[in-house]
Amino acid sequence: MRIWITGVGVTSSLGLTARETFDKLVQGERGLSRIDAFDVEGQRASLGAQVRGISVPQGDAWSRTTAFAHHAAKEALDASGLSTKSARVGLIVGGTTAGMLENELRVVAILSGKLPLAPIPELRSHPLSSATDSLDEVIGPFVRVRNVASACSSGVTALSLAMAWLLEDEIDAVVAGGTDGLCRLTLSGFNALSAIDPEPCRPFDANRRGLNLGEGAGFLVLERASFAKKRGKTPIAELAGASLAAEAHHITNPESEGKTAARVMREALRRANVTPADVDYVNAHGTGTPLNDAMESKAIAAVMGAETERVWVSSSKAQIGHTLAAAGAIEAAISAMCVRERILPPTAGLASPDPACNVRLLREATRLDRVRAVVSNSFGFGGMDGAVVITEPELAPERSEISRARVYVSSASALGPRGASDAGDLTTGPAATGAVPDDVLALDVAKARRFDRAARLCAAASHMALEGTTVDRATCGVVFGSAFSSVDEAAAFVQRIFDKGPRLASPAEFPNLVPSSPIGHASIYEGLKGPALATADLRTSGESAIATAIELIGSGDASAFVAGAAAVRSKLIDDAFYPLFDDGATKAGRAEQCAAVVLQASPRGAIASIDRVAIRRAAEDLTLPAPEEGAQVFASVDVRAWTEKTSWASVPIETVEPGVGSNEASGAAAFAAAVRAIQRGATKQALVFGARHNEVYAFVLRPA
Amino acid sequence: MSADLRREIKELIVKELNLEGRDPQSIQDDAPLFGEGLGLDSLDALQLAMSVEEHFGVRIPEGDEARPIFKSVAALADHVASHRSSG
Repeated sequence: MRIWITGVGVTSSLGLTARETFDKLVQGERGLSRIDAFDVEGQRASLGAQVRGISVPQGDAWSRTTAFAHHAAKEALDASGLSTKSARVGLIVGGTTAGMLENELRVVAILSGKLPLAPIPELRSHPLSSATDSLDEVIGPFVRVRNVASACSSGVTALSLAMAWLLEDEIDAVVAGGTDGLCRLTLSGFNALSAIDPEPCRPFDANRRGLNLGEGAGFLVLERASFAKKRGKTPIAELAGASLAAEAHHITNPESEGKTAARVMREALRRANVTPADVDYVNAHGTGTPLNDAMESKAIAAVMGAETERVWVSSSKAQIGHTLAAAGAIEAAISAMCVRERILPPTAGLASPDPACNVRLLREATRLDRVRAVVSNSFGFGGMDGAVVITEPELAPERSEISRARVYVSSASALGPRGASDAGDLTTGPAATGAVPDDVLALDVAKARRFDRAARLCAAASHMALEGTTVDRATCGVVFGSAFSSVDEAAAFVQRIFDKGPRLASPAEFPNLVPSSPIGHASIYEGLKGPALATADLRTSGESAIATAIELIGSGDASAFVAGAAAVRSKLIDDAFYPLFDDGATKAGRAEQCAAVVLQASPRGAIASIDRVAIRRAAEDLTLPAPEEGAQVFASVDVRAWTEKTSWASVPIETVEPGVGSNEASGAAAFAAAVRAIQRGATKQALVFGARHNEVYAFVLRPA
Repeated sequence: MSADLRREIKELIVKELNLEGRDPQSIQDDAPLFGEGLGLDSLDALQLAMSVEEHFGVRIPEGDEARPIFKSVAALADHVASHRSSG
């Protein structure tokens, strides 16, 4: 199968379209200015790549981040000539900040009693899924939507998952990308880490001192070449390969030798059927930090071998800033334009190349006869690495895909107010409330010293689920869903900036506020080196994580996954956020909990096999295998109102409220409970069912 | 002054860097803080620099200039003492 890029959209500090951004990149223009989207008084560095001239519509659900996403996604769709009315189009959005800028003052005011601890409508712009939901409403409906976060590699994660989706015949095209906006939290955080150059940054320069933060959005329309050809569409370029992996090394620092960075580049090339001899250009992650650029240069040289002297390398971040979750997508769009235009953009600010960055650095824009293949890298906090390979259409032999028809489940675990269990007891007893007892979160003290509560939950559930399984940790991924991330901690971090000044922002706390941080910690704690990411989907955050794991195992991106979801106790979530999004469940049911399952491609040691995964926008649209004698439905809450509209209307429903309460993460616990019910022979066919107002997830399990 | 200051710094290290279960007094005055020794890393160095500024009002310079100051508890205490008194 070939995947073509038929539309790109970019919103950046250089321009509000892909064309304008690309032209200014080539001209060497730098989109850096003193940030004025918020007060930067007292910040160690305040230069950034702020997007100018975009209007943010009025309304509760809007943030700058969402406005960028609309701008870029619409541009990409328009360019492709597709619409959600004329084709089955999916949507994947990578993000880390969402409406943080708009809400950071609000949550601080709530926590300090200046605003009531109540569901304020404006908080709708806060969850990571807000941009996705807004896009779905305005330019949708999409046939499937997903929010992913893997820190600064989120954009590449979105593209990888889109490739996995296109293996299925249920989706014709995917709009995939990332969006992120500048805010006090990220500026103060990167400043606390001394990661920002107060001057315009200098990637790969001997005197480089750090990055400049940026903001914006990038989206690509990806479709099967056969679908594009049928409608007479010529591509910009081909998305030939992608790869994701985790370093399992450190929460902020990259591996010094760049082993995992090299691994994802090599794997992306292998999957693209492209050799280093075909590669003309690497659009580097190239942040301008001393550690990244040296590490990345070593990785590029290791992968390109003898071709290192020939292959051009540049970083766009000195011109558009480090746009965090948008970076991978914006830079993939730039890479696609390089292939089409046969021009490579420079590395602005590079005056004296660092001998430690021994690659062929581009200092000025260069025109080539052909740009055959481009590698674009993204590396994120928590060691979440990704690379994509973008080529001329039909450059390399078509890929033979691994498309695994079947995924198995080999283990399950759950942590709830009653303690830790194998998830076999979640459906009996009165509804649970309260916190997970501390003694079941006993982790290695030294290894877990930087963990916040969410990281503790994810690491402990992962550890329990992995025990006794035979998964290969080198290719086992980890994904957890979370609707709201660590909002109380984020509010406390921002409060401290106000109270004590940005200079006293905590460097150690900041990395924990990145939405994918608990997953990064779990990956490091357990040594899991497959893809690591977070998903967010409000009430169905658990289901979205498990679906993502199944999709990425199905596409061969991982041999196995630890997949689950976590809900931490939080005043802000309990009283301000959750009631806005709970689709009718009661606040009293929101217990602290975390559940995980081990999903794998191999039947070895399997308890259950997954017969069918169906994700639809309405229960009426589900096509499910007929329920057999003794079948059971497992869900986070009573989902009768939904299952009634399916062929499973008369099948009894078990909920996991007794074990873990009812909340945005308990869909993963329902999946875990179904696995154990199958194991003990209580049911021979289980439907795990999760729903929110415009989305239903159905997983049918049977004994392996 | 220096024994008290060293004790305070050790307590700060244990608290700020979450060295749970570690007795502050077991940290040697002259033992290296980073790499070997306590096994601390660059993220700890940043956190410690911020905490020292918060608690003692003394700034730790960024980058290589911080190295000799962070050599040991004794070196850090000397830096704090000299900059506090001169300020």
